[in-house]
Amino acid sequence: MYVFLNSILASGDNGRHLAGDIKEVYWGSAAFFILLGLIVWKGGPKIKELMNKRTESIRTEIYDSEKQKTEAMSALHQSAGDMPDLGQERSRIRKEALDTAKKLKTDLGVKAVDDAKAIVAKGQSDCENLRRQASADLATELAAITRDTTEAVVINDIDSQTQIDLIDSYIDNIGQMV
Amino acid sequence: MTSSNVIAGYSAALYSVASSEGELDSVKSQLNSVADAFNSNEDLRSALSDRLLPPATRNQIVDDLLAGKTSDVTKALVGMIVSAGHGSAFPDIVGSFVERTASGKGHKFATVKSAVALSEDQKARLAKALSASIGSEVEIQNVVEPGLVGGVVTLIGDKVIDGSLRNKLDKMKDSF
Repeated sequence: MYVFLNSILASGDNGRHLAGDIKEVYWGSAAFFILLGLIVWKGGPKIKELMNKRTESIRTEIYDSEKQKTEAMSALHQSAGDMPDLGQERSRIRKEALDTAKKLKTDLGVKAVDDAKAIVAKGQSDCENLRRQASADLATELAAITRDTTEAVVINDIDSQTQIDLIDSYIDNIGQMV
Repeated sequence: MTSSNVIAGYSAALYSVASSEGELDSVKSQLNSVADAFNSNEDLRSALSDRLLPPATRNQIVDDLLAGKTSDVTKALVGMIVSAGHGSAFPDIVGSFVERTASGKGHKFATVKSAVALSEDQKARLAKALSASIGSEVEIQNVVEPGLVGGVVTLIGDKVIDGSLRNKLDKMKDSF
């Protein structure tokens, strides 16, 4: 302390750094230390509390960071774990597509055969219908020719005596016809 | 084509006149004879049905045709129908008149269609046979329809007794 005070007091115009009465130095120093004590006494807890809060905040941030890091690592591992599943899924889809294509090919083949059979059956049916229709038309035409010929023969052959006979026959049989 | 109202109207007029003159049976018989001649004679049918001929000319034809063969009443009635322009419906009017006279006596009426006209004997035998079959007096009106080819078709009430060759030919056609 002495050395300190001497160094302070040294080198002024009067050979000391601080002019004035030495008592001012003592009182100034006392005031300084009193003020310092007050600051430490009153401000210390506040400063400590702020420091603690800051420390806690940093600790929380570190914890959150660690947590995020853990989650990221977990996701990374999960993705890495899923990679084999993707491969399997691709294989499954490919197999399913192949199976579907094979089944479709089979179904189309069966359908083509069925369609061909149906076309053949319809063709046969149409041919049969045409044959029947032609037969029916021919029969109708023959019947028309026959009846027209018969009618012409009957009309030509009928004479007045035949007319009288027809009327007499009608009169004789009217009793059974009524 | 003459409407059924015209036919009914003229037949009622014929019936009224013939009744009032007391000549119902003779007029009916004479009208039937004229109708038979009308049906069987193409030239007569054409002349009496031709509306292009003046009514006086048609009436003159009737006078010339029926003079001395029918009563004045019958001749006047035929002249009335023909000069009025209903010659083509003459057989139908006579048929309706005969039906009216038959129902007036409580008799049945039959329209008998044939390819050729029935003789009086055939008409009488047919009327007798029909009367015996249905149990009531029957009066007949013969209408000639050459399209029947041969035989007879009788229409009595709602019955049709078809003995025509046309019917037989049609049945033969259906059987083919």
